[in-house]
Amino acid sequence: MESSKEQHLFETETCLIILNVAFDQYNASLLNYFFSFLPRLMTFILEIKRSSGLRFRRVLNETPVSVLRLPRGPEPNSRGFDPTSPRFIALCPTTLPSSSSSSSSSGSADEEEQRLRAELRERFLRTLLLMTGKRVRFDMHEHVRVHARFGASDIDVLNLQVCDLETPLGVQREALLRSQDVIACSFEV
Amino acid sequence: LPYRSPVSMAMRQTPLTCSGHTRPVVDLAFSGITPYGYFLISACKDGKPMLRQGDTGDWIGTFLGHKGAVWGATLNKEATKAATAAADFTAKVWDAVTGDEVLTLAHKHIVKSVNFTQDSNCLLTGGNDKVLRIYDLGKPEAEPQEIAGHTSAIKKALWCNNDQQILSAADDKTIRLWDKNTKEAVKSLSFDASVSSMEYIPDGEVLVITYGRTIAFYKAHSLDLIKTVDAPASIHSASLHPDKDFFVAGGDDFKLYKYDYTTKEEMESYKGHFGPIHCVRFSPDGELYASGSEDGTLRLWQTAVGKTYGLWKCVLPGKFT
Repeated sequence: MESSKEQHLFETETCLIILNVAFDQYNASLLNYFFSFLPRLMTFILEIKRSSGLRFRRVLNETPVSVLRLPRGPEPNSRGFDPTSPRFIALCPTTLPSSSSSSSSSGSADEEEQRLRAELRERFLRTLLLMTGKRVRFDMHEHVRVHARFGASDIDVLNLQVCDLETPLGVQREALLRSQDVIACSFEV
Repeated sequence: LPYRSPVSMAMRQTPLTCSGHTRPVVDLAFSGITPYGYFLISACKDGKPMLRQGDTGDWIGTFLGHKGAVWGATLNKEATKAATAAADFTAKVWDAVTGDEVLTLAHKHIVKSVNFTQDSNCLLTGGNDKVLRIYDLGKPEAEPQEIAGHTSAIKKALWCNNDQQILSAADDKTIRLWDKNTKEAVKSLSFDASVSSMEYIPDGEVLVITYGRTIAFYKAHSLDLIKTVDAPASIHSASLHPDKDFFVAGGDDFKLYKYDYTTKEEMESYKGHFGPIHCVRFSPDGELYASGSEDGTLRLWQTAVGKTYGLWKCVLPGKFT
């Protein structure tokens, strides 16, 4: 460990000596600024090479483990939990009639429930469409009640885009309301 | 000297970086091994804990709802439930399959730690109000059982000894072992420095504690000291491999250290993070360990460097395409 540490220091010192010579020759302030960073940059590069707790010589002999791809990151517009994933399908019993199981009697009850759910969902979505452009009153937590012109909601109905939001501090031209903060909204049809 | 396979001698560790968080990652936890693999949850100061596939680091979903920094996160064994502890004075229980919030448990101060029992029926919480609380998840409206005694904020609270006892570490520099039924402190340990992390290994009843530059191992039943190891820098978290042959630790100097548990020798140290490491945990199968840092990233590291596992692929010399 000592020998590689010494070698590291020697190399840094060598860089500095070389650069000091360069500084004398080029006495321009911009170059001076640049060269003053070079030793630090060199140290940084040498530190990176010394990473993985390795001795300096071993870097030349070792190959990094190859990777198939990087881990997938979050999707920008969704909170995830893909409902088409095998785990979701297996662990979240839906009321949809499955093709393999469920007798005909329970099947029809499931179908009826699904029909009602679909109808309610459609009504909700149509209400959102009808609300577009209208002046809506939002009842929120902590007895907050604001008026705004409804624009749109995002795909998961997590946020509501509104214009001309009337707040006690003034009228906000454009705003985003968090759906979870909204208890109810009402508007004139 | 510990045996190192010829493959790992020639290979350099390639950590997998999981990005997505925008603030420091302060806690992480693995689930048990399920038919769908194992999972990882990360707690972040941005208030949005994330669920990831444990062996690849692929993002699965984000639990949205907290209004403050999330200080603690945990999964149950089957990875069907998640719990988080946050600075908004609440602990929340989530459905880890759909991502929906199932329960919000209001507290009187910042909640720092959450832990499920083995059967996932009870949740233990601890935080800055210095009180341990046990919630029956079958009766969430019922008042929780409370255990008081710590004189400072509780940092970590864990079930142990078949969920009959509770281990808690607090800023009062003590670790206390409580009986769940009598709510009395059965044993207590005092330290000179604040305990930075605590991990409980049920198989073998080992407790891993970090404080200052020390990683200490105790018997969980008796709180008898097994051994201590000193690291080159202040350590924030350590984790013992399931087979108890090595442990990893990370802290202030941004490095991850790997030690042989038997000989206490430092085997390797890895750089990669750009900030202090706040938490480090081995996966349930011991094939990898995850570290969370101030730099906002989670990194996955291989235990056996060069082995084909998850996203890592073993490429033998002479077979480069």
